[in-house]
Amino acid sequence: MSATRLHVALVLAVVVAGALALFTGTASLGDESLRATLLQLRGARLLAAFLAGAALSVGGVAVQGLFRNPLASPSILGTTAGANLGGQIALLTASAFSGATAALTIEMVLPIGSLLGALVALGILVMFLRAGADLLTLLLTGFILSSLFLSIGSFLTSMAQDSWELGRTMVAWSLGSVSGAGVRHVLFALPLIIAGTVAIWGWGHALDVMLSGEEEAASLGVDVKATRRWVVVWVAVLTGAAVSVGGGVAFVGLIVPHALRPIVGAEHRRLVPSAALLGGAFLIACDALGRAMPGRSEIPLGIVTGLIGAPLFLWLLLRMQREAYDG
Amino acid sequence: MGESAVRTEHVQVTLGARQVLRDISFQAQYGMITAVLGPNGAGKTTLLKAVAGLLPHAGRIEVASRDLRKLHRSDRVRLIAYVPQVSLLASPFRVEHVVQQARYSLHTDRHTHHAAVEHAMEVVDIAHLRKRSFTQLSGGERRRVLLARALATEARLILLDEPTASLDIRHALSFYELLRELAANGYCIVAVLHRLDDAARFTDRAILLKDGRLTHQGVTADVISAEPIRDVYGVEMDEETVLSFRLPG
Repeated sequence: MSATRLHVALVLAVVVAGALALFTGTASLGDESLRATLLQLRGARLLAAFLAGAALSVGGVAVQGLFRNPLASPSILGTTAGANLGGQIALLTASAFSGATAALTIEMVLPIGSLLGALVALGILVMFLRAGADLLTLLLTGFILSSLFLSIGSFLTSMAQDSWELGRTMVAWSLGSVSGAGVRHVLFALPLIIAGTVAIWGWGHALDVMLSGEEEAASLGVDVKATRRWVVVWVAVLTGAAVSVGGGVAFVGLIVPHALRPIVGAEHRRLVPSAALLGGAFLIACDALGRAMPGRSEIPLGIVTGLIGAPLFLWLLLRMQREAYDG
Repeated sequence: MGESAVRTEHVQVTLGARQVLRDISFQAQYGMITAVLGPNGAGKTTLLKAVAGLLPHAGRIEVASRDLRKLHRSDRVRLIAYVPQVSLLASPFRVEHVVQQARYSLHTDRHTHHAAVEHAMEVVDIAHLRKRSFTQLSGGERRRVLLARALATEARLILLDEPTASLDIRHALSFYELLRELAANGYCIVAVLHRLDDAARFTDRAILLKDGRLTHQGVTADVISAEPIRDVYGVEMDEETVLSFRLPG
């Protein structure tokens, strides 16, 4: 399929998923008194889902290229867990000071907390990068950081159970959700995600060459250390921004690049825009699906992506293995 | 003797706490194939990587009469092409995209890029494979694609680490024939080889390493002779047994 046709198809997918998301929910757009408010709320939510999906998918393309591992996802760097923890700390802080100042709203502190959490995780990673850590050390560092941040996050969540409302918010946040996303969240994350996507696209050629291994890449003139450092930095920015609007959403960064490679090929500059569009459409559709489930008001986005993503990923793996076997 | 593509003086390479190469001094000329020989662990690949600028070294390495340490990354790519024994490339890139990667750091105009890539694919005879996926090629075809990528840099010094390892006899002969053509066209080929019979047949000069030291160097026929081979490999040469193959026609 040509790149233009694919992009047209993906834009159509975003539009269809977006229309679906606007019309899905317990309240009806047919009610004129609610229409404007619903459109504003669902519009912000739709944009948040698109941005989170796009950012995580582009991050997935970048880390899978950098680590030459199609099983890598942005979460392996520890930045997703860091951003999650940052968000949880922000929720606790906002809750503790909610009586002191009305200006300190959750809406404001949550994205800042997520980004700070991602940056702290990133700071630790960069320390290892500066010390000359190879990719394996980086992977292990990301794994350990993730475990550490998740443990601290679980501890904080258990502490928050004293307050029913705060405990529920903390759990919902860690499961991943765009239900609380407002225009301010979107405006905060938008420039970061655009910058991150453009930057990863810019490093695309270097990432292509890096797929031959760092030694061959260096022999072909790639500044391996700079590529590694900057790609890691931009992935952290993307995941931090994604978590700030969508919480801990699983599987998107893993399956979207996987699904696209057989159609688009392995070239990063072709993958990045396609992944942004497909990831955005996928998360919008998952969010709409979570709202359309009968029997309860809403299923958190992270659970929907997990329920769809895990079997989809297994199917993609099986297909890849079959294709490899068939030659 | 022709112009030197590589000249090393007292080169030492230390990896971690281990000194892998000690006091290596040799030259390789344009228009010739130079074999780097020695038993396993002698330091052959390390020497090749040091000359490629991929490992830090003590002593002096000159490429085209320029100090390797003072070369900018893009200058290094213009002067030296390196093809490892095993490429980690396992992505379904189109063949032409793999060859185009040679031009990553070379900031020339689009026409020059295109011409260099096309010329390299023609020389190596892979133009017909340009749209194929790299992962669908045979081992021999992959070696050719990686050689084409090396040639597309337009470097005249080609460093090859065991270029015919894992190739069957026909593909290996065809590859050596290609290397001979490149040398005849003025390239300097420096190749790590394990098979002494191949080295004796296809290379002009050879250097022999043992335990990180250069023990013998010179015309290949002199280096691959009874005494050096006994010294370095601990085996006796049996010059009576000759098993030779050639491509038809």
